[in-house]
Amino acid sequence: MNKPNIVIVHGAICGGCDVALANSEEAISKILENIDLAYWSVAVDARLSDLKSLGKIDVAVFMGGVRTSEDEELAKWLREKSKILVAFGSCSAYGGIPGLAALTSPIELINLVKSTITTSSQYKSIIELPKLPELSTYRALPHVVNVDIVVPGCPPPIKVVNEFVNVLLKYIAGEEPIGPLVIAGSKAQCETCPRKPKDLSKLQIPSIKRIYEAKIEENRCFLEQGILCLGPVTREGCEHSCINVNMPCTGCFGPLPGFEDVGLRYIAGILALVAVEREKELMEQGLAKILDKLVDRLGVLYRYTLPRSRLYMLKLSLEGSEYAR
Amino acid sequence: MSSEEPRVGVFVCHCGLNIAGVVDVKKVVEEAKRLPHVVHAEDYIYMCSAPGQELIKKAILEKKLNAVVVAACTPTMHYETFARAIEAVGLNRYRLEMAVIREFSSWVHADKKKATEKAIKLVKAAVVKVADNSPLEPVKSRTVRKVLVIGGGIAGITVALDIANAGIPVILVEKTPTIGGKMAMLSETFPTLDCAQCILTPKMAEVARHPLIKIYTNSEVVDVSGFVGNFKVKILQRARYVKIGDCRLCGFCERVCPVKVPSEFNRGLSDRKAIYIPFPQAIPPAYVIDKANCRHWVDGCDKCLRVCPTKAIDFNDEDKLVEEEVGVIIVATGYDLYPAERLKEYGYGLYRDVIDSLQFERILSAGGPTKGLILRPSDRKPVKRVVFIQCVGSRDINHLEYCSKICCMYTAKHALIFKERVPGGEAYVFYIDIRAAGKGYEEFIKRVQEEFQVNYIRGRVNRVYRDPKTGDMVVVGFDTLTGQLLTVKADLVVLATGLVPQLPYELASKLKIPFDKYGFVQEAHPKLRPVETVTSGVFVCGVAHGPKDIAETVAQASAAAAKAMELLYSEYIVKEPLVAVVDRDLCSGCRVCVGICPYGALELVEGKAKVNELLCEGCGACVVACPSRAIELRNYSTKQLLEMVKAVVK
Repeated sequence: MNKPNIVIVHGAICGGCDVALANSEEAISKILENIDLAYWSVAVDARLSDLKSLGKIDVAVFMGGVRTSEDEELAKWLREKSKILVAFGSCSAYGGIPGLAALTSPIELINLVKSTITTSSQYKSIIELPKLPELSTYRALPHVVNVDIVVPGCPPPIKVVNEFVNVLLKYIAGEEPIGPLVIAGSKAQCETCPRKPKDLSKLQIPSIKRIYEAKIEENRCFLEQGILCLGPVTREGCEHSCINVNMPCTGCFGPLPGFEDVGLRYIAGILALVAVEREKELMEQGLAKILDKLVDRLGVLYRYTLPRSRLYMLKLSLEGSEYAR
Repeated sequence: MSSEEPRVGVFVCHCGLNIAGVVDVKKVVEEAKRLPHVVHAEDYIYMCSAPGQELIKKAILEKKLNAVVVAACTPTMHYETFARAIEAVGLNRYRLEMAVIREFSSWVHADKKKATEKAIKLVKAAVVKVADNSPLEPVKSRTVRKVLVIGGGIAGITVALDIANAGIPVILVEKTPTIGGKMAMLSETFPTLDCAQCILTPKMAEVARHPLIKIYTNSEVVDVSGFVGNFKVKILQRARYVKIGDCRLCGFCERVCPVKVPSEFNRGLSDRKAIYIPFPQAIPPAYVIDKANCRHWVDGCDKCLRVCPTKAIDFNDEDKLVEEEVGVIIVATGYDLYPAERLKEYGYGLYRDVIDSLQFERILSAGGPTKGLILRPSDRKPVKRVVFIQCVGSRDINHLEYCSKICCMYTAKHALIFKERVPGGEAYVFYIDIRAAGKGYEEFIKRVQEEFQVNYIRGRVNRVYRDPKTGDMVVVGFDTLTGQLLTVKADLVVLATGLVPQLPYELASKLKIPFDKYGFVQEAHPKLRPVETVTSGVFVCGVAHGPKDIAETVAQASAAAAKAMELLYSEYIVKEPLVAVVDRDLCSGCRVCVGICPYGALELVEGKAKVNELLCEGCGACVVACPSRAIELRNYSTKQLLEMVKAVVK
C-alpha cells in the first residue's frame, strides 16, 4: 500500500509556521513515519513545478494568507487536487498580521514600499524590481476555498501541532471524515486562564492603560488592571503562552464559535465595561476620551482577524468587490 | 418550541378605522395565509372586544392552533387581553405575539399602499417569532411582608400609618433624632391656617405607639441588596447616648449642660445644649447627645450623667449596624431649602435680618425662639415692616430652573399671619407670578391681597442692604407694573427659598432608582405610574419626587401605601419569565456580563454566570456583551431576532 502524501505550501508568510512545525519532534517524526512528505519547499528542495506534477494529494497544508494572484491560484488548485485542506496558522485561518494591510489598497502598498526603499541613490536607477505576482484582494484561506481543518496560532504551539498530526493519523487509519474542525478549545481563554481577578464576582475595568504605563500585577486579571486583553473573545487551547509571561492575550487563536468579528464582540462586551461605574461623571468630561488610550484600534481589536471582519467586508462591498460577503 | 409543528393563527384588527382606514386589512389577511406555519387568518372590526376574543378562541379550538399572532395595537395596550383569551382555551400565553400595525403603521403613515406593505412585514416578523416561542411559566418568589419607609416626615409618617393600619409591619428610618420632618417646624398651614403641630403631633404619637411600626431615628440606610419582595437592607443606627425607654424628659440634663450650639430645629435662631430634644413632642420622646459638640469626649464632663434621675445616659453607647429584610421600600426623603447664601444680592448670611422661610416659620411658632412674637433676629426689635421676596432660587436659570410650587402660598400665609399679629404692620411681597392652583388657594391669595392689604409688587429685587444709620434693611426692586424702581425700608426680609431634594446619590444608586437632573426621583410613568420607580418594589412619595405641598404629599403617600399593599397582598411575587438564560457549557466565566448588568441580576456561581430570574428585567445587555455568546433571552433568542429581521427586510 502506498503511503498517503502531504504537501506544505506557502502564501503570505513570515516562516514562523514552518519553524513551529519543525520544532515539534514528535509531529515531524510521526509525519515522516506515516506520510510521504511530497512537497515542503522550506525543508526539502523542490520547485513549484514539482508540486504541480504530483498525481494526487491526500493532505495539503496551506500556511500564510492569500495575498497574490499566485497564492489564490495555488489555493484553488490545492482544493481541487487534495482530499484534506488545512489552514495552518493564524494568517491562513484568519488573515493574521499581514491581514492588517487589508484595508490599504495594493497600489498604495506598492507605492509605500517603493517610496521607502533605502538603496543608496547611485544604484537607484539600475535596480529593477523583479517581476512579482500581482497583489490581489487580501483574504484568509477559508474566504477563498473551503477548508477541512483549521490550526490556529501565531504560530501554532507544539501541543496544537501534535494534536493536529494525531488527527491526521487517525484519518489515515481510516477514521472518517474530519469535516470543518478547529484544533482549539471552543470556549474563551478565561475558562482556563491561570490569572485570577481580585474581585471574583464581577469584572470592572477602571480605565484603559497601555502596557508601558501600568505596573502589571502578576496573577491578576489584566482587564481588571486596565490592560486590554483579548482573552474573553479568543478561543482557548494555546496554553496561555503570552499570559504566562505577563503579557495580555492578543487573540491569535481567533474568534469563538458563533461569530467572526472579534472587534465588534470586544466593543460590545469588554469596552462597554470600561469605567461603567463612573459613566455619569465621565459623560460630562467626555466619555470618548477614555478610548483615546486605545491608540492602534485595528491593531488591538483585529490583530489577527481583520480580513474576516465586517469592517473589511463593508469595505469590499463599498468597492463593489466580487469577494464581498 | 416543541416537538409539534407550529400551527399559527393570524388575527388582524381593524380597530374601527384606526387601522382599516389606512391599512388594507383584507390584503394583510390574504398575505398572512400564504406564510409558512400559518393555517388560519381572519380580520375583525375590534379584535379586543368580547366577540373578537371569541373569534380567536373558536379558531384555536377548531383549527387546532398552537400559536397566535394578533395584528393590532401595542402589547402594552392589549397583550393581557389576548393572553387571557388564549389561556382560556388552554394555550400558553407566551405562544402569543402582537404585530403592532396601528402605532407602527396606520397611525404614522399616510401612504395606504406602503402602510399595508409595512403591516404585512410586521405580521411576517411576528409569525416567525411566535413559531419559535417557548411556552413558559411565570417566575415566582415568596415575599417578605414588611415595608421599609425611608424618611420620617409627613410623607413617611402617612405611608407608615396607612400600611401598618392594614396589618403590615413597617420599619421607619429617620436621619435626625426625631420624626416629624419639616412639617414639625411650620407654624400654620395654608390655606386653612391649621396649626401644623396640632395636626402633625397626633400622627407622630400614633406612629410611636403603633405595635407594627418600628422606628429607627438617628439612622440611615447604608446598603440595599436583593430584589422586589426580598430586599435586604442595612441600617446604620447612630449612638444616641440616652436610653430611649429610661428618659423621662425631666430636662435636668439640659439645664446643667455647659455647651451651647445653634439649634437646627430653630434654624440657628436660638441655641440648644449638647444634650437636647429637638422639640417637646419629639418622637421618640427622649433626649439625645450631640457627640460632635459634647465635652464628655474632650474633658470628661459628665454633669448630665450626675443629675439624671433615671440613669438614662450611657456614654458607652455605640453606633449599630442593623440588618432588616423587607418586601417593599418607600422613599420619602423630603427636601431641604436651597442655600439662600448663593444669591449674594439678597444678603442672606450677611445680615441677620434677612431670613429664609423656615426661619420665619420658627419665628411665627408659639414654640419657636421668640414664642410667636415677631421680633427681628438682630436686636429683637418688634417688626413693623416686612418684605417677602418670592422665587429665591426657583425659576432662575442660575439656580433652580423649576418652580418650587409651594412658595407663593406659604408667602401669602406668612404675610397674612404677620398682618394679623402686628396691627398696623406693613407687608410687601415681590413676586414674578402668583401660582395658586389648588383647592381654595386662589381665594386665599385674594383674601391676603384685599382683606389684609398686603402689597404685592410684581418684579424682582435687585439688592438688599443694611442702612448703616438706622440699622434697617433696604430692599431695592423694580416694579414692572408701574415701571418704577422701588426702594422699601424694612425691619425684616424673608426669602421664599426654593426646595431641593435631599436623597443622597449613593442611596439612590443602591436602590437603583433614577432621578432627574435636579435630583428628584424619576417616577416610572409621569401620569399612569406616579409613585412607582422603574425598580419594582421601590416607591416614592412626597417632595423626594418633586415639589409639592402637604395635602398633595399626603395624597401621594397614601397612593404609595396602596401600591405597596397591592404588591404585598399576595404571598408571592410573580414575574415575567422573559429573562436571560446562561448556557453553562459555553460560559467561560469571564464576568463581563456581571459588570454590564444594570440590575445586579448576574453572579458567578462555581465559575459560571448565573441569572437571578427575579432580578433580571430582560433588557438583553448581557446577551450583547457576552463574548462567548453563552447568554440568550427567553423567546428573544438571537436566532428568532435574526429570523424576524430577515422576514422584514426580504
